[in-house]
Amino acid sequence: MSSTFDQVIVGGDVEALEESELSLLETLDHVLNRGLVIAGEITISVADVDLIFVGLNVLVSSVETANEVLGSREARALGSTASGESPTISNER
Amino acid sequence: MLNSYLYCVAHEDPNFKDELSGLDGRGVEVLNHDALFVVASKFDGEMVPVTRENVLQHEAIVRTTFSTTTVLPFRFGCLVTTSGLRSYLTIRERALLERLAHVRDCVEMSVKIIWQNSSENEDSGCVVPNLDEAGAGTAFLMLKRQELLGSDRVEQEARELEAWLGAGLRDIVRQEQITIEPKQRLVLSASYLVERARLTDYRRELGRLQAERTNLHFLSSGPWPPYTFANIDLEFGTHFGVS
Repeated sequence: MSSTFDQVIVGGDVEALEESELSLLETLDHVLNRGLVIAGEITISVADVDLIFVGLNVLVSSVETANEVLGSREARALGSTASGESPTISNER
Repeated sequence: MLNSYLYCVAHEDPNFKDELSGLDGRGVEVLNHDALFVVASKFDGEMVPVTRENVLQHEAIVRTTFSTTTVLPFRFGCLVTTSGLRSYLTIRERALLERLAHVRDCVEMSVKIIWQNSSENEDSGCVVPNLDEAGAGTAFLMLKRQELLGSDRVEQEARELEAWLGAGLRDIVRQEQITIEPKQRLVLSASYLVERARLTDYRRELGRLQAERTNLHFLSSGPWPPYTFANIDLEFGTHFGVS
């Protein structure tokens, strides 16, 4: 797997993240880090997304920084073309 | 040259009702190889850009397929030639079918635990050495000892956390995969393979566990297709970006 990264999102007020932001982070964690691999056949490039992910050691920054990377809350819409059950995200303390 | 971009493997044709559009707007196809069905689309290029759109599109195709049948999701970015895919499926057919049987009727649920306060992974209560009175060497060793004792305590607490969570959920889940990182805020990351029929039990038990530890921050999600339990090969460290 080859990739280039420009910026780490660090810090942390996970509790302040919106459910949509957490949902995206969880999706990234599953889709990018897990699943079947045909050895040597994962080729990805990071384009237009400045983030480094360490599992979900997502060391997530302040909400403002997260917004810069993920786009403004108003403009963001995860949407889904999938049918069937969608994952729920629970952010409990 | 067009490669095949892979989304997931199934043991039966998902028989999509509608035409699905994959990455780059390419039509999603179902490729059949003996007892296996691979959901894929053509991809023009050698590298798959990690963009929000592509990631969500990948997940959407996997999830749509998962809504109709058991799947083993591919990791994002899997590009193969036609011959490469045929070779892979021929060699791995039995292992893939066994893994599909293992995850049948199951979903993946995730739990992440975050230390609520920084003090939870600090060694509070230790005596701070008086660096003026101790010599430099002694002071260094004292601080190092504190650091090690603190690390040991934090690691022990993290392992107790792992044991506590496992004790509560182990009888309900088919398989678990837990990673602990004592020195990180994200101290524990767990994935559980849960039979759909036991989801209610799982959620009830997780709720009970969360209520027991109000000093911790829980991030739970699911149901997911079984990404964590799909790989038939040894996992390799793929922490994205930072080694």
